Amino acid sequence: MKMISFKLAKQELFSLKRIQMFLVLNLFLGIVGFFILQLFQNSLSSQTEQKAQEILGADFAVSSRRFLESDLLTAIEKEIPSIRKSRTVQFFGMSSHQQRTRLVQVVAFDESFPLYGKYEFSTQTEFNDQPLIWTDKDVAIQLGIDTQNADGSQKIKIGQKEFIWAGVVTKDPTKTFQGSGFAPRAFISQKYLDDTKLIQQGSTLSVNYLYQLRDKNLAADLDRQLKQKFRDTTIRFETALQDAESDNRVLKYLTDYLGLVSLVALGLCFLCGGYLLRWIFLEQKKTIAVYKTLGVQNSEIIWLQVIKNSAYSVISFGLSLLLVWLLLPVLQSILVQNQLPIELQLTARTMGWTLFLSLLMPQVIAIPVYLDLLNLNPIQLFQFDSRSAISSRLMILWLLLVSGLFWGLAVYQSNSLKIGTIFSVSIIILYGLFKLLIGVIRQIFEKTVVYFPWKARYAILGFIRRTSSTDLVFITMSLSLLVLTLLPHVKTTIISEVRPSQSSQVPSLFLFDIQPEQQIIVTDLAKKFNVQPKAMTPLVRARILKINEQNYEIDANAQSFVTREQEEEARFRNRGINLTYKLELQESEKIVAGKWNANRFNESIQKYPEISLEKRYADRIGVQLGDILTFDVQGLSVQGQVTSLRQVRWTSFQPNFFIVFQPGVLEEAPQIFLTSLSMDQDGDIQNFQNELVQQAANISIINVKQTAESALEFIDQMAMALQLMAYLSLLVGLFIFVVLLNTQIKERLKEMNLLQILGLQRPDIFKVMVIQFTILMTLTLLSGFGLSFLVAYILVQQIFMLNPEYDFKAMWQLVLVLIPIFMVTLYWGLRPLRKLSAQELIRSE
Amino acid sequence: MSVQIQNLCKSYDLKNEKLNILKGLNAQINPGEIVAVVGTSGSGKSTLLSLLAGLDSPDQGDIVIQGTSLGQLSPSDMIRFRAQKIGIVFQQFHLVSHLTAFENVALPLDILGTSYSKDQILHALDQVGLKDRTDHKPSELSGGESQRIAIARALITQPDLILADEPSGNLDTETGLKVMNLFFEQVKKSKTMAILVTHDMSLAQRCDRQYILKNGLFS
Repeated sequence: MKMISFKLAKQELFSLKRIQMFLVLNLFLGIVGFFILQLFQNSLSSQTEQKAQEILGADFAVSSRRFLESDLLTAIEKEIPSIRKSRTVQFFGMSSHQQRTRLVQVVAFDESFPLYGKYEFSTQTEFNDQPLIWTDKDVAIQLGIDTQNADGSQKIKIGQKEFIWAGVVTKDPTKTFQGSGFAPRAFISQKYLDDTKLIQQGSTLSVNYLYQLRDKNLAADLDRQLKQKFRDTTIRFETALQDAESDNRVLKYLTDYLGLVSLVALGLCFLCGGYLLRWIFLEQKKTIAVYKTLGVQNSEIIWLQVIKNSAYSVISFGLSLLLVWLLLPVLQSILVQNQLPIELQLTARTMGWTLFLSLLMPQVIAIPVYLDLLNLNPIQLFQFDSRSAISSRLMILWLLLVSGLFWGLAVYQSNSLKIGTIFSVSIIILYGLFKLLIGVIRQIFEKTVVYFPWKARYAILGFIRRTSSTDLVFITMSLSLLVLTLLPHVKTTIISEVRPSQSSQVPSLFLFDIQPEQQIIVTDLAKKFNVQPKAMTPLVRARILKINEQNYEIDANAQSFVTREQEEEARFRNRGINLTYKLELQESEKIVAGKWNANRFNESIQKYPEISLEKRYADRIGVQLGDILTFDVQGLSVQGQVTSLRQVRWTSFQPNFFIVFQPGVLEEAPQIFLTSLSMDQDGDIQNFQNELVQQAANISIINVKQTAESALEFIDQMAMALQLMAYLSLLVGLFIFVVLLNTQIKERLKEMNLLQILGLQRPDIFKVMVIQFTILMTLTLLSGFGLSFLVAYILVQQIFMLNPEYDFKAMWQLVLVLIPIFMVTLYWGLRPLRKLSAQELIRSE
Repeated sequence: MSVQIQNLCKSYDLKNEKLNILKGLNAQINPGEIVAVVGTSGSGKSTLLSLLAGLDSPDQGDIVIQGTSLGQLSPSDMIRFRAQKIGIVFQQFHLVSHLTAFENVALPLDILGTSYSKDQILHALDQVGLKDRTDHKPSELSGGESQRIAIARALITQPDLILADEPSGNLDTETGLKVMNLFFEQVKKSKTMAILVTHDMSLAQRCDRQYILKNGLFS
């Protein structure tokens, strides 16, 4: 590294001009979102690691959807070097207090639970020898419990057993953020589990055997060893870390998606940074020419630029660090308000990553400028020529490098090769679409401009013929507006889909865990309430053993999953599958391939019973029409041939299944039933629920409306976080608009002076510029909003398979916010025009 | 009718010091006459041009163009007057970069709101030998071509007075000579008055009369 480069860089840096300030601000805006996300993600993963034992309540867990047979359990425990153990049983059940009922997730614990951490309750109880129940606050409120009073007088019934309400769980070390669940929790002692009479054949439950190991570092090896030895996919082995990561999955997905939205801002800054660097380069061409003619070598010129760009990076990083540090208490309080148990920590890793990106980004976007510097000789440098001397091949290589870097960041941020790739390809396609659109607009204006009055014509020509600056603002603003308006569209669609209403066909109640003999109770009660329940749908637990004689089970040796897809695939394959059988399709189903068989299985003419798979499920497990699937149905091997594929609308809250058998095969298998029913009145829903709990306490009832509302609240929180991040993109877009205004006004001052000399009054000059930028912003709004409809349609219709609903209100609100911002920006940007002096044109000669 | 420069004085304040640039200039340019104003750097040529173009006002004295005293005009009237009566050719051409040659030549008429035909502009471009470059933008034109467009633009409104500030100063000798030949030819053809500011004596010699600006006065 040459000293002269340092010396020149120092001199130039100490005379920072507005344009360099813009570059620093641009980098700052680009990295600040990334910084905050890094802070959030790293804090989440470090605390997941630190608190893993408390979250699981153990070092290692073995879980299953059944009580493990004693010899199997003994064999497993023989391998586990534990010093203490515990067991919990979790299942859904209806709780009732006086005339109110509520579905709860019952956690039945033993005296050793939890092996790590401590529960805290709102009150101390004096009735330890009696059946006690502790609940989440939601349960207490919904059942009408007086939460201030734990004197033993308030009782909650779970199944057949009555418990004394002992208080609200105020601190649950195992509770992490898991998004919206079907039910809040209630804790009882395992001593009373049988008394509830809720655990019956086919009941949906989860039994967790928890262990404190002699040495917690043995957990990972133990996990591998057990997975290899016990290949029963209905048994799940889990280390504390795996469990904690799985519990934080929803939150992690959210941060991953937030990371992607922050990349939009970062990508826009890439574009703006490239524009600013070229501008700076053109402004400094003469200075560089002087350096070159004085004998400064090419390598020293490049070093000078590298040092300068690195300095801009460090300043930008410093600014973002300062902002994040100042925002830390605010961000922390937002997390607390949203019950997210994450303590934000500004670690060296977070800062290191962000600094690395801050240093890398300007160097990558400056490559064309570096190449220009190498290619140009001093004589050319004396000419003000904005065209690049780089060959198109090199430019393509550079574009590939930038795209590759963006793709790498997207994969890193989303922790998903698939999502990262889809996202970066989508952004590149959108970039291309906007580029195409502005090209078409330019052509239309070019052909029609002669028909406009002169001032408008001049403004339009200024807009359409300044390609690079116009394109930059058009693309960046359109893209940021698209991202910002896309989210409300998607949110509105989901809300209208899951919120039960008369038009949405979503039922009021969803009933499950119905024993065969209880079907009549449900139908009779429904008749009493004058409603017709949907047909009873049987549910048979099974697991897939083979697909066309190929083993379906995933390699148990898979130790670490690099991407989310690998992790999900393992989880997906290792869990059991619910089967059903029926003759007719539901409203929420549609055959998309093959043929639905509406007859019972006839052994004499059919080799295999026919089965129908949900289309996307079939794609995922790699099954096609005609394939033979072998199932283990509670120890019995059953085969079926795929003869149709269905599209299923999952948000219908109907009993939907991935795999449907032809009737005549599974009828004898142990099974439970599901159904749903619709009621108009809230009071009827509650009364029906209350009566059913009295008659059949084991039947679990999901109040769909209640669940949907809680899901919507969750969606709202997620959407708000994403929206906030999207606003960062808009801020970048607006910033780019300001930069363009500023640079273009500066660049065009001579032109404005000329117009004055040629006879144009100053207010008219102002008017021309206002028209030009108003056209630009209007087109930007129209294209951003317009394309958001199209993208929302594709996303919602093709990927989520929902009917799109557009949020026009959010768009109007955004327009109302943007117009004043735009006007203020324009007024501020056009200030230099007030100091126009035509004389300057003569003096500058 | 003519251009009269009457006792023109102009000074500037520079760090508490009064800098007298023009100290009472007097001159008269007659119809159809091309005069040269010659002076060294800092002699006040640009100041004089600014005053003649009505871009600045004198401390004392007046400029009368075709009977109109510039000192009597309001700022907006001055802008209008300049657009109608004065054409300016700059050393650095100052074409509008996003307009084509055709649009640059038509620009003064557009600003004045005067209707014009396509043929009128094409004729003006033909006069400067650039009829085949109508759709080219300044970045696609050479320096000489750009200056010829600037000359066509200055003449398109048929002004009473052309102010030319070192029109060949930014061009090589050969191109500069060609452009100046064209300039003299066109100005003579249009029978307009012209003031050519230059420090090139050989160029000044081609004008009808020469004024040498020295120490704030014509000598």
